[in-house]
Amino acid sequence: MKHNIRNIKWIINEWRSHKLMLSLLLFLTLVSASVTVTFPLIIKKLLDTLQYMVERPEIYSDIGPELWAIIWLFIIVGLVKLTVSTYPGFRSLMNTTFEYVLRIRYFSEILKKDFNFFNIFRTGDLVTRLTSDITDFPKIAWFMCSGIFRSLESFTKIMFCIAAMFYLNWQLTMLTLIPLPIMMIIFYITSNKLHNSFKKNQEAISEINNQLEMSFSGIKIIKAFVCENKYKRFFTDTLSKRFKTEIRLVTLNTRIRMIYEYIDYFAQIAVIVFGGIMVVTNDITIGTFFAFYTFLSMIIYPILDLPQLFVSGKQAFVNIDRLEEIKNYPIAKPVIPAKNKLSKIETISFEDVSFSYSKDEINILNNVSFNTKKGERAIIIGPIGAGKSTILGLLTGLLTPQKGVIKINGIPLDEIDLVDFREKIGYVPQEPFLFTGSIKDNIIFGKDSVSDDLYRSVLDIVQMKREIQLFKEQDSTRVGQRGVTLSGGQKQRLAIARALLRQPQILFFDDITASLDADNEENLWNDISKQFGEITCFIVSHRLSTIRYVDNVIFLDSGYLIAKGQHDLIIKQYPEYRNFVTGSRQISS
Amino acid sequence: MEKKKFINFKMIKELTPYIKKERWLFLSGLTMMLITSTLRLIDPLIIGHIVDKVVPDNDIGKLYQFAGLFVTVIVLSGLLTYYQVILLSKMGIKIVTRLKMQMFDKFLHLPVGYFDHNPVGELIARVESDCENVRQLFSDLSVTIFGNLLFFLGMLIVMFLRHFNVTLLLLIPISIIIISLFLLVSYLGKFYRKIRELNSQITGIITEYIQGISIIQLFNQQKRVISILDDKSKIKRNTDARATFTEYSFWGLFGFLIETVFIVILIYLLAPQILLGLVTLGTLIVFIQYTQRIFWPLIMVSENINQIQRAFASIYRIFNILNLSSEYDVDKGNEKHKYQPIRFDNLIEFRNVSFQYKEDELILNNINFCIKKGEKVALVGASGSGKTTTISLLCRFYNILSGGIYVDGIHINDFDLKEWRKKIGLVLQDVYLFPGDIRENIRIYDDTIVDEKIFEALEYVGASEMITRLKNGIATEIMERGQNLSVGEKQLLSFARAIVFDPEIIILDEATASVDVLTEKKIQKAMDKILEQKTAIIIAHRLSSVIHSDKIIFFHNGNIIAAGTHNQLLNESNEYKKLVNLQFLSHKEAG
Ligand SMILES: Nc1ncnc2c1ncn2[C@@H]1O[C@H](COP(=O)(O)OP(=O)(O)OP(=O)(O)O)[C@@H](O)[C@H]1O
Ligand SMILES: Nc1ncnc2c1ncn2[C@@H]1O[C@H](COP(=O)(O)OP(=O)(O)OP(=O)(O)O)[C@@H](O)[C@H]1O
Ligand SMILES: [Mg+2]
Ligand SMILES: [Mg+2]
Repeated sequence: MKHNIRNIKWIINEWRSHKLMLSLLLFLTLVSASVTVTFPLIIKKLLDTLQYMVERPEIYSDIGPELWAIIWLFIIVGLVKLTVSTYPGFRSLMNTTFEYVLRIRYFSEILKKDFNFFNIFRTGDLVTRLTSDITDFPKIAWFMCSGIFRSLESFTKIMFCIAAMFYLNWQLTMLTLIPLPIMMIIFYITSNKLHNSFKKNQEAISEINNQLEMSFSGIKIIKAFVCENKYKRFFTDTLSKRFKTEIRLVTLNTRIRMIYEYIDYFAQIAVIVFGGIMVVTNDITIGTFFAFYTFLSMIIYPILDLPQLFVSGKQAFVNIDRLEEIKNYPIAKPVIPAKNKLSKIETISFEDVSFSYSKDEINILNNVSFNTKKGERAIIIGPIGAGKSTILGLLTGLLTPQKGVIKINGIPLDEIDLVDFREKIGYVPQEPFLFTGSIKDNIIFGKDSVSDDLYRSVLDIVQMKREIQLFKEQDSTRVGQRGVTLSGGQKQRLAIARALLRQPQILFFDDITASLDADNEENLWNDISKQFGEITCFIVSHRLSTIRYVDNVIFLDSGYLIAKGQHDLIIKQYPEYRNFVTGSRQISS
Repeated sequence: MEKKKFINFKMIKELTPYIKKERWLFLSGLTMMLITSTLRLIDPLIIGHIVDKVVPDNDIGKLYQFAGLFVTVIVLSGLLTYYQVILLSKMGIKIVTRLKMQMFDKFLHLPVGYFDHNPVGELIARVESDCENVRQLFSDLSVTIFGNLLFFLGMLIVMFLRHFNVTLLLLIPISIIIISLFLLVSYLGKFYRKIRELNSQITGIITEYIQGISIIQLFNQQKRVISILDDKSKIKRNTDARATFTEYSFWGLFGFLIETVFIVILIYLLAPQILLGLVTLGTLIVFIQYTQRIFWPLIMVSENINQIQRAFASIYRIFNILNLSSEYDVDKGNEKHKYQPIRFDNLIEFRNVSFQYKEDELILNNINFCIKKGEKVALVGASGSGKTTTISLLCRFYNILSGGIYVDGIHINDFDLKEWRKKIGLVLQDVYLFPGDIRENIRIYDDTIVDEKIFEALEYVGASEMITRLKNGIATEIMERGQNLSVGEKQLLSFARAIVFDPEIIILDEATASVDVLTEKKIQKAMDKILEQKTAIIIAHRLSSVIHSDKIIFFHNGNIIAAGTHNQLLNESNEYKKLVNLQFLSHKEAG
C-alpha cells in the first residue's frame, strides 16, 4: 500500500509540469462523458413520444414538431461530441511526451553512475528499462496519461449513467446494482497476485535482452567456437521461462476482465426481469426500460476499462520501480560542480592511497604514494592485474579511494570541480571504445568546435593520415559499433587522437602500445614531444621499449608500489624491478 | 523507404506456417469467437420481442422465458469469450516465442559482416520488441477481426430482414466509413514503419552509450549524447503524435456518422411507418441497438487495424531478417567434401588471396604463403596492414574476393563450416568474455571439459596464480564484457579458452599484447610444449613473442613484403630490421 502511494506521488510529480494540458484533458473527458449519458435519455424521450403518438393515431400521422425537436437534439449532441472527439489524440500526445521526458531523464541519471552500478546492471537490462518499460503498451507512458484518463472517463461515464438511472427509477437501479459488491471482493483477491506476476515477467524480459546482448556482442567467439547450438539452447530456456510468466499474466488478466464483464451482465438480467415486470405493471414506460438497458450495455466497455486501470497500474508501478531503482542506486562520489577550478595543473600526488572495488574484497591498491610534476612523463609498469589501470581510474576520478588522498596542485581531488578537471585531461582507455559514426565524429567527440589545423595535426601525430587517405570515404568512413570495422591498432590510434584533440594538460595512456607497432609508437612520441612539449603523461605499458620515451618509472606489483624513479637508478636499486625488466628481456640486438 | 503496401500477400503467406502449426488453438479460438459473435446478435432481438410481444400482452410468463433465454446467451458467451481469450493469447505467445527463436537462430548464423554494420542494440530491438509487436496480431487481432466482421455481417442480414429499404439506405454512410477507413489505414502505414525504425535506432543509441559510459564521462560529453538521444526521441514523439491525431480525427468523424447520422436517418424513415402501424417499436429498438453496436466492432476494428499496422511494420522487418541468407548459403563451395571428415596433414596454402570489405577498397592484395602442419608462423607488420583480416578469412568469417585458401589441396569453402571451425582455436584481438563464471567462459558450456582440464589450460597460459587470488576460483562471476577483470587477465582467459579444446590449429591474434613480458615469458615455455603437436599462427606487434617462430611473414599494406625466419629477415629486410631495433632495449639502456 505504502508502495502504491509512493508510485502515485511519483506520477503526480510528473504531472506537475504539464498542468495546462492535463486540465484540458480533464475538461474534455468530462464533456465527453456527459454527452454520452444524454444519448440514452434522448432515446427514451424518442420512444416515449413515439408510443404516446402511436396510441393516438387519429392525431399523429407524420413526423411533427415533437419528433423534429428530438432529431435536432440528436444532431446537437452529436456535433458536441464530434468537436471533443480528438481528445484521445491529446491523450496519446501526452503519452509520447511522457515517454520522451522519462527516457531522457533516466538516461541522464545513468550517465552519472560509476562502475559499481555497471557491475550490477547489465546493458540489456538497462536498455529494457529505458525502452520497453517506458514505451510499450500498457506500461509507464501509456498508463500515466491514457491509462489514467481513460479510467477517469470510464469512471465518470459509469457514475453519470448510474445517476441518470437513479433519476429515472431508483428501485430498478438498486436492483441492478446488487451483484456489484460481491464482484468487488472477488476482484480484490485476484488482483493482489498481479503485481508479483508483472515483476516476474519484466525480469524475464530483461533476461532475454541480456542474453541477446551477450550473444550478439560475442558473435565471433560463438562462431569460432562453434557453440551456436548451446546459445540457442540457453535462449530457448529463457524464452520458455518468459512463456510461463506471460501465460500466467494473461490468465490472471482475463479472469479479472471476466469478473467485470459479469457485473454488467447480471445488471442487464436484472433489468430484463424486474424492468420487464415493471413495464408490464405500468410502473415504467418502454422508453425507461430501454434507456436502462442502453445505459447498461453502454457502460460495459467503461466497466471493462476499469480493471485495466488496476492491471496496467500494477504493471506501470513495477516499471516505475525499476526506473527509480536506477536513480536511487548510490553513486560513490556524486559530481558536484562549482568547487575548485584549476587553471594549470602543476602537481599530482597520491598520498597513501588504498583502494578496493568492493568492501568485502581485498585491496587492489595498498598505500600507494607518488608525486609527479608538470611536464613529467611517468610510465606505470607491472604484471597483469597489478592495479595499473586502477591507478588511472583513480586519477581521473572514475574511482574513489577508500583511504588516502589524491591531490592535484595540493588540493584533494574531491574538492575539485570534476567536470572542469576532466576538461583538462586526455584519456585513452586500455580497450579503445569508439562509437558508431564517422571517423571524424569519433575524433572530435570530446570537443564542440575544432579548428581544421588541429584536427589534421592530431591525425598526423597518431599516424592515421596516410591510412585514412586509403579509405574511399576518407574521414567520413563509418566505423561500426565499438569500431568493429577498423583494425586493432587503428582503433587505438583513433582513441589517442580523440584524447589529444582536447589539447589536454595531462594525458593518460592505458596500454596503448598493445596494438601499436613500434614504428608508429616511435613517431607518436616524437610528435607528441614536438607539439605537446609541456604535457604531463601517465603511460601504462607492457612494452618495455616505451621506457625510453619517459622520465620516470612507477613500478607496481600486486597493488604495492615497489619503486619509483628513473629507470637507470631504480634498476640498480630494486632487485624486483631488475628481475621484471631483465627477466623479460629476450634478446639484445 | 520502399514503396510497399503495409500488408502484402507475401508476408501473409510467410506467416501461414506459424498459424498452421497452432491451427488447433487457432481454430478453436476462431470457432468460439464466431459463436460469441452470433450470440451477441441475439440480445437486442430479445429486447425487441419483449417490447413488441410481452408488453402489449401483459404476459409475465413469456417475459420469464425471454429472460431465461437471455441468461443462457450471456452465460454462454461469457464463458466462451474467456476461453477464447486464453487460447488465443496462448497461441500468440507461442508463435511469438517461435519467431524470437527463429530470429535468434538466424542471427547466430548470419555472416560476421552483418554484425559489423548493425549495432547490437538495434538487433536486440528487432528480436525483442519487433516480435512482441506481432503478438497482438495472433493472440487477438486475427480472430477479433473475423469475429467483428461476422458480427457486422450478421447485423446487416438481420436488419435487411427486418427492414430492407432502411438498411439499404444505411449502407451509404457505412460504405463511406469503410472506404475512408481503408484510405486511413494505407496513409498511416508508413508512419508506423518509421516509428518502428526510430524505436530500434533509439535502442541502439542507448545500448552504445551505456557501453561507452566511462568515455562519455571522462570526456564530459554527457550533454552531447543526451542531445543526440533527445533529437531521435523527439522525432519519434512527433511522428507518433501525427499518426495518432490523424487517426483520432477520423474516429471522431466515424462516431458522428454512426451515432448521429444513423439515428436521424432511422427516425426520419421509420417514425412515419411506426405511426402508420407498418413497423413495430421493437424494430426501431433493434435498429438503434444494432447501429450502436456497429460502432463498437468498428472501433475495435480500428484499434485492431492500428495494431495490425504496427504489427505488420514489425513483421516486415522480421521477415527481412529471416530471409537473409545465412553464412552457409553465402558461399557453398563444392558439396562433395561437405560430409567427409576434414583432413589436414600437410599444408595450408593461401593462393593469390585478395579481399575487400567494401567495394574498391582492396585490403589484401594477392597474398601467397603457406603453413606446414606443425609449424609456428608469425604474421607481423604495421597496424592496418591486414593481419587480422588474413586470419578472419582462414576462419571463414568473410568471403574471399579472389584466390583461395587450400588445406591439403581442398578449398576451405568446400568444408562443412562448423567442422572446419572446430579445428581452430582462436584468440581474438578484441577480447570478449561472456557474463557468467570463469569456468563456463573457458569451456563455453561444454560439459565434457572437466575442471582439471580447465586448470591445466589456465596453468599453461599463466593464469592459475590469478585464479588462486580470486575468492571463488573458477566459479568467480565475470561481469558484462569482463569489466571486473584487468585487460591482461581477460586476455589470459580467452587464451585458455582457445587451448582447452585442444584444436589442431591455434590462431593467436595479439593474444598476449596486454600481458606483461615476464608472464609472457612464462607462457612461452609452456606454450612450446602445447604447441608442439599443433600448427600455430601468431600475430603480434611485440616481436619478442614471435621471433622464435618457424616462419615470419611480414605484411605491408595488404601485401607480403618478406617472409622467412627471424635471422633471414634481419638480413633481408630493412623494414624488419628497423622494427627490431626500435623494439628492444639495448644493453646500455637497460642498464
Ligand atoms: N570489418 C571491417 N570492415 C571494413 N574494413 C575493415 C574491417 N576490418 C578491418 N578493416 C580494414 O582493413 C584493414 C586491415 O585491417 P586488419 O584488422 O586486418 O589490420 P591488422 O593488420 O590486424 O592491424 P592491427 O595490427 O592494427 O590489428 C584496415 O584498414 C581496416 O580499417
Ligand atoms: N570493476 C572491477 N571490479 C572488481 N575487480 C576489479 C574491477 N576492475 C579490476 N578489478 C581487479 O583489480 C585488479 C587490478 O586491475 P587493473 O585493471 O588495475 O590491473 P592492471 O594493472 O591494469 O592489469 P593489466 O595489465 O592486465 O591491464 C585485477 O586483479 C582485477 O581483477
Ligand atoms: Mg589495465
Ligand atoms: Mg589486427
